[in-house]
Amino acid sequence: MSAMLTADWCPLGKDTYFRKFEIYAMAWQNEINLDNVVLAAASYGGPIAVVRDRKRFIKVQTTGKPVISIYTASGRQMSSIVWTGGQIIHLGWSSTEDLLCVQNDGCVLVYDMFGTYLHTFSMGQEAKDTNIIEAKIFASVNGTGVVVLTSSYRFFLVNNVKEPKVRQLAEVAGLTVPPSSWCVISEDRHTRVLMARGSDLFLLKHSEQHAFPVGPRFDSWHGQKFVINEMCGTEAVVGHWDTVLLVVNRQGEFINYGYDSPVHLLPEMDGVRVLSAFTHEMIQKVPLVVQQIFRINSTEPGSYLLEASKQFQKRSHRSDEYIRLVKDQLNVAVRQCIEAAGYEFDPSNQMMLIRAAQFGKSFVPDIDSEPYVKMCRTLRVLNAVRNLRIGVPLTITQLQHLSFQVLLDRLVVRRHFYLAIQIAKYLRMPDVEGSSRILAHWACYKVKQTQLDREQVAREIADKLGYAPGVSYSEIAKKAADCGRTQLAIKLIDYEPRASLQVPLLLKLGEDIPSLVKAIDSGDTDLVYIVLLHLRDNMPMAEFQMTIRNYPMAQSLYLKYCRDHNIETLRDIYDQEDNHNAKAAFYLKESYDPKNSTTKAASLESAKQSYRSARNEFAATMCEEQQKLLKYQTTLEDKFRREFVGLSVHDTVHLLLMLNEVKLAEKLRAEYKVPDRRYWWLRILSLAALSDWSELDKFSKTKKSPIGYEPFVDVCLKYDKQSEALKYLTRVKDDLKVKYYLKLGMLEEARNVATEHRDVQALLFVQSRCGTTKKTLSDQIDATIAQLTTKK
Amino acid sequence: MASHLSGGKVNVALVQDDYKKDLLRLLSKCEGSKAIVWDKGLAGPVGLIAKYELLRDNEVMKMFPMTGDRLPTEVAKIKNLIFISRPKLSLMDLVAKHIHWEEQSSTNKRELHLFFVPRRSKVCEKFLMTKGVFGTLTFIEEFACNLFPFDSDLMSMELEDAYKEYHFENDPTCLYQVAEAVMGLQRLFGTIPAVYGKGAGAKHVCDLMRRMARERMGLEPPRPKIDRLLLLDRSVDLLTALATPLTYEGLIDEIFSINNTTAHFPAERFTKADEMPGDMPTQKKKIILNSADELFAEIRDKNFNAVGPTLSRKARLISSQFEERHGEKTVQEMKQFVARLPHMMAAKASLATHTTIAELIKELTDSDDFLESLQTEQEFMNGIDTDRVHPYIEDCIAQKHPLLKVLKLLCMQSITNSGMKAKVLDHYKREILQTYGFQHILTLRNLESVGLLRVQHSSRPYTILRKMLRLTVEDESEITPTDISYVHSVYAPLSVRLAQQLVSPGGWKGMQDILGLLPGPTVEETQLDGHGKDLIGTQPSQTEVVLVFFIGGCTYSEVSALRFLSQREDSNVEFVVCTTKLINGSLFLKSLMEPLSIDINN
Repeated sequence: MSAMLTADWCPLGKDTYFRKFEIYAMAWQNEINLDNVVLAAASYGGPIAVVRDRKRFIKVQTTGKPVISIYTASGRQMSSIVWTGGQIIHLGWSSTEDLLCVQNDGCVLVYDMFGTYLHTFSMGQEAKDTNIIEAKIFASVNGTGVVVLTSSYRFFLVNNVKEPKVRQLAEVAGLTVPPSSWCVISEDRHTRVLMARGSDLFLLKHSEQHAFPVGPRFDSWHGQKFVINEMCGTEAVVGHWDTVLLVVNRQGEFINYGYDSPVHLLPEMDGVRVLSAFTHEMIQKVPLVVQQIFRINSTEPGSYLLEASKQFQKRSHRSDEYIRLVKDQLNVAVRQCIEAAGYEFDPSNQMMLIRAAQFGKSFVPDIDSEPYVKMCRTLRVLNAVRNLRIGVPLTITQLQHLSFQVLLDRLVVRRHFYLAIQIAKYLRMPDVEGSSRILAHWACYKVKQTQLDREQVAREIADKLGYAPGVSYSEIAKKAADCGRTQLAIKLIDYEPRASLQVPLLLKLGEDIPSLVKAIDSGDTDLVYIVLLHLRDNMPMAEFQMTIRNYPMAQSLYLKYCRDHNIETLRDIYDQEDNHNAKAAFYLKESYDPKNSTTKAASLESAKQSYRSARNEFAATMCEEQQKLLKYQTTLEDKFRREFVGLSVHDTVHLLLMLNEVKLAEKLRAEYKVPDRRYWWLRILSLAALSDWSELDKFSKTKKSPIGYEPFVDVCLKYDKQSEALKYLTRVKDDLKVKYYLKLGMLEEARNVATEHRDVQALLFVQSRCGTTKKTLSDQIDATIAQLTTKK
Repeated sequence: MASHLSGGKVNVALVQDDYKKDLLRLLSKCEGSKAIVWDKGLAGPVGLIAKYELLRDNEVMKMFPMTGDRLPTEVAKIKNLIFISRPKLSLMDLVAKHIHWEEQSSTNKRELHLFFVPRRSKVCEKFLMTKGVFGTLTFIEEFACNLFPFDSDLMSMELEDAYKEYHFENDPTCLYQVAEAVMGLQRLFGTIPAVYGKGAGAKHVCDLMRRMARERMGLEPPRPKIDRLLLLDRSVDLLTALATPLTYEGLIDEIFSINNTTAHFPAERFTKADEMPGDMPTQKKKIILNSADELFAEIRDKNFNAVGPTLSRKARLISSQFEERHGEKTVQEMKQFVARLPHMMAAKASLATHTTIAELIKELTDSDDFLESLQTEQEFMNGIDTDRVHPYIEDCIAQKHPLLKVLKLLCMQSITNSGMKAKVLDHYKREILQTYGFQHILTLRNLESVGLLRVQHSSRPYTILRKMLRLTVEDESEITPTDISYVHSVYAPLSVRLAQQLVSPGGWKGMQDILGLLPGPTVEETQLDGHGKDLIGTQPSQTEVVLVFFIGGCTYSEVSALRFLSQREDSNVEFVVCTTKLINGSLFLKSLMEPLSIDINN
């Protein structure tokens, strides 16, 4: 078997082999004649665009208009574009696999691989005016760039087709004929053009005005017939003359491959793909590890392990001999087999190597199975995408460079959603990076199909996606809105669980009410405010106010906002709502606002009226009383030259009493129906404050106190008038007497009262106040208690 | 990690750590020296996450309160100025003012940053744009700190006006924040399998949680550490919010008010003998009150009447420990004694501190004023004399006792009587307006609009609830209690009764009648894990952890009652308490008051 494997190897120089193997038999066999077409293929096994070469005369078959056909790498047609625009100078693919068609007027038309027109950008006015004669598309740091050469021999550059910013490159003075050759060099962030004029070499930058010759003079060795030359890794150059293909290394040694029809060379990072009418082949340097295993007479551990595995399958004892040879290096051997399997395109070769690795693994007790498992998974994925139907002939090196993520993206672009999801699941990618993201892409694709019914699309999407984590319905809805499918967008946005994404989009789509409802549902008041302020600024005021009254929470928030920012609006709304109580409160606040000193009375009156309208009689009466009080207080101020205005009824009465204006106080008290209890308190407290003890005594005898006589004792004590306090003690309620005697420090009397009432609890309480100083009394109480308790 | 936060089955220190890392990450974005301008309400709570020393180590040189005034010139050389603020427009106004000052000073140009706590707000950003200062800000960040860790079983969001905003202004912002806070906890401690709740706010939060879970699906939460969540809307139990707590910590809060686990006491009572008395008499002594203090951890939840005996027992214990040294014979024994000495000294210092505090409290609780007011409260709780004008309240008004005290009693009467007769209510209202002034008319309206004061309807739910939930318990020992009613000496907090019922064998089954009497819907839901699997019964654990979230504030008495339930010998439940704010009656009412002018006397 290994003999067969090395059959397509060709040595080139020392210890280097090149191999050429078929990837696909092209499905386009009968459709394409590579002789008279221009062909552009995307790297990483991307799609191939083919258009009739306008420089060749052939029999026109259907229409006069050129047709760009797009094929997969396996030659299946994906789409075609009937070209109606100007003359195509150059075709190429961007790094995101969009087709770039450079027209002679400097317009670059961008299509996706399904022939859907995406957009156009221009290479500038000068390019348009003078027409372009040549163009090149190159990979730049941040995507894909375009350089064009105009008929006035000036170069224009766009570094990234996603953000086309046209820059002119330095001019070469005295250029009267087209440059003999030029190419684009893109390194780091700088893009330069290397141009040859005759034997002069120029390096053109966009930062310079004029370019000057650089480097040594070259003698041009470009043969006329040598059509394309491509690097094949770093080891060799591949070139072809019509049907002869040469691989040339640095020493000038070469390998010669013959073809019976014209071929196209497609460079890749690790080899060159050769495209002919019938086959799609790959020429690459044989990877070192593959060489180590399969080279004839190899003594590498991997080679022995493979042999051991083969013998084992043949049930031969020689298996053991081979294993013994690599006993100490089994780890290396396994690794080599695993790695080599990755470089094979043929599944049977992969399987042979993987089997060897598995066999070797079983001899190493604690080997890390991770690389083995990973390779098996990777191979399954690679084989799946290499399938004819999918037609992405990726090598493992390319895949590692792209990453699985990008591979999935590429499958998504090809609308292989199902396969992408299966791969994501198989690779156990987190949903957010894997299946959910793919589903979201699928949904975005779905919404763009404008012919489908929107109800159905929305339902299908929701069915598939459900509330899958990581799916952004707002993204999908945005796509739909971008396609002009506003209604569908609105339907879809309904599925977005994150209100913070949902609401702004709804607002943008002009869905005022739904955005308000969603904002309210979210409970996020910040969102509600955003919607409210947006609506307020974009709606007639009256309509806005009518709208929000249907949403109590929104209205409350708006009112709260107005309270701080727009008082006038507040009154408007209360007016409109006939909310008289709130209006009254509004006026009340106004009447107390120090900024409004002139309209105090008027505001209070308005408040009263509003309370009347609200049938809040109590509040209205209180307002009225307040009005009266204020008036009366003003007259008092005039009379006594003291501050009265602003005092409460209670404090006014108190102040009058303190001024000894008992009559006035009585009058006021009667007018405002101050209850007896409170008035008595007022009298007692003010008389005590005035130290008018005789008057207090008199007052106590005017009639029976509605509040008892304890307050009399208390006020006297407050001012340390023990003797005065004694006057009222007899009138204190019986059950409080003990307490009050104690307050006065009259322990014996307290004891007597307690004994009289046969109250043991009270006696104990008295005793607790005795302390150490009244030892005798304490003892007496003990005796009394003993007496009382035994009697029972 | 702070030790006083660990210890429970749910390690609150993890929350602190999470936020601390986030804050330091944000600070490190602003390179060079920094000064912070704080939203006044945030400096204290954020201090619970990162102490000033830590901030200083991260190049925070100065801190200022957000006033809108020009900053002192000493900050001229500081490279970064960071505003840390709640997303409120009134605060944005201050930020804008500060930025204008900055722009005027031509000498230095420093970078300005704004950190929102806990979320960025588009509206605020828009506001800053209209003020023309938005572009000046270099970083606008979000410090997503919803819960501030207070203790190993207690976290608070420090949202003062949550109840008022939701129930009075119909602004559900705080509910969104509560839901986010729970989601944050679930991220650390796993999806909570079962959610219960009572009240409109609870239902709303539960709905939001479900919504958020859907929005944020795909994240793998850790194994559930919390078994049940109980969401309680404060409106379900307003009485407890107003009642005077009789636990040690509750009384400290009532008298000296505790903010961010710190209280200030009159310093002169703490001066040691060797210090010059009257050194700085005006200064207050600042004491941090959390379970890092062993003694405090032991007595904080006790009824105040049980604190005295405990303190004297401790005193005896410590003095006997000190006495032991006379008995020590060998060098070995002496060495052991010396090793114990620092701990003993600390215990002694702590004992001295708490003895002083207890004395301070006792002075007040022995006053007639306190006792009479308490007696009135307890009468109301027992349903005595709730249906007519109460003479004690009248006397209080007549003597112009603090309005807050009067309103508190009034609201309690209204609640325990399930509303007052219109005549009685009008009489009270009139008395208040006549005595304290007309400017309180809106305060009364506010209290009525949230249902704290109201006119009676036909039904009397409180009377039924009192019996069915055993809200009042007579003859309960205050020193060795067997029921949570010890926290108010007579009254068992209704909210905690609900929690107690929930963890009892029957759960809330068969409680439908009772729950029906309480306002708002009842929530009983299960949550699924990240894979859509039912979480209930996935891990039968010995001790069940129940997170009780009070929406609209929680009192110290409730915290104590829940701790009491956790610590009971037969208990296999551990409660963790979260709240929008730790409140007491005064704070609660203050948030609802709206005086039309600032009265000097009140």
